[in-house]
Amino acid sequence: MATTTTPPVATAGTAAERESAAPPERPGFNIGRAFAWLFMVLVVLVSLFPFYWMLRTALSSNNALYAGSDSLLPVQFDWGGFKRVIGLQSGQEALDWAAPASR
Amino acid sequence: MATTAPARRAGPTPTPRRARDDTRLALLFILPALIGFLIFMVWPTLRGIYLSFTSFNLLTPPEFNGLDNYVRMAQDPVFWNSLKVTVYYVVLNIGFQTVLALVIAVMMQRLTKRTWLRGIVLTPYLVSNVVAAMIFLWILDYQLGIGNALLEAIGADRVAFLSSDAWVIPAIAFINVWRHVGYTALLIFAGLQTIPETMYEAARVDGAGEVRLFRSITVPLLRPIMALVLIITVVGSFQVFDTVAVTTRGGPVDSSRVLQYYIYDVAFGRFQFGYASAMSVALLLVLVIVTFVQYRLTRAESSDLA
Repeated sequence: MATTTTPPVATAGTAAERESAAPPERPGFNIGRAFAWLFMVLVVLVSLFPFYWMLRTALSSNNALYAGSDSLLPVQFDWGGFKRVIGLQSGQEALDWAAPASR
Repeated sequence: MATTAPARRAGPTPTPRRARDDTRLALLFILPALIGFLIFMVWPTLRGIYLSFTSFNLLTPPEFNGLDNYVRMAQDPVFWNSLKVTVYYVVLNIGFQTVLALVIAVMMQRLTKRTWLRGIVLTPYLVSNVVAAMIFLWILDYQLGIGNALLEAIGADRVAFLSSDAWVIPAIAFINVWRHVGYTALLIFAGLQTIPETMYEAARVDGAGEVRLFRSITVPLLRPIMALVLIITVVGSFQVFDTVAVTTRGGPVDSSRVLQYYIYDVAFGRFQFGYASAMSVALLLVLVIVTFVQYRLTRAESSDLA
């Protein structure tokens, strides 16, 4: 908050003294507003990133996740998880998909 | 109207029309909710208080043992530790959450009023606590978490967020801040809407800057809403359970064993329902005191508006 508002305070003080007609309402570019927007963008990113991560992990192959843990895209793209959720996967397929090493 | 008016003037009310008494009808409407309240709130509370004076393990009937449970509680270092951990969690969680939510709410009010922004900020609240805990358990993992991969990418050291005793409570607090900050911000935002725009205009005419507007108008006029929000969030925060149950189960050692989880563990892990009830009563008392103090300190019942 502090960063967003220091410039307007300064201009408001001088504006009041000069009784200038231009109100400090909508400045073209204002460093305070820029910081405020940056903050909001950050909030939105932090809010949404876990959702993306949920999706990315859901679309990955279970066994590949450990090797590709820092990949930003789905590792070995696979619908297996969703198939299992809606019941399109047999029990054996689900087991193989979850732990192919045990085959 | 025209016919009744002269009649009234004529004398001392010939047919006394009593004001309709709605009490019985009102009671009828309240009844369903009241039954639920009595069965699911009042009765368990009373029974819990009763059980706290007994020794009870589900298999044999409760046995009255006076204040034994409370004596044991006073001497139980794990209980005191869990109380300490809980308070630490509440301070971190409420501190960060309230400040962030206030800033976000003010931004939603003064910077931009776009609805999609409000929607996005609220999305984490739509995820259940358990799912949120699962996602962050994965993201914050020491070896495999993308959070730690990012830390390493910017040159910082990996942090064992959920498996070191120094970081575990801040990490759990962060997870719950992530989930609840949007909801809290929306509550505060609703409170901001009640402040008349004319006040801001008047102050701006007097040459007040954004900081001054916030300090001299927003904060004092928002006080009753903030008080309400704080009371709700603090009570909710003291009752933290699912995040801990999913991510750490109280570990490492006892460093995230919050009171609610300890109660659960004693009751459903060790079947000592009497002692668990005693601790629940203690938690209830703590919450009553905290809420009462907050209520008085913030003068939550009065508004400076109007």
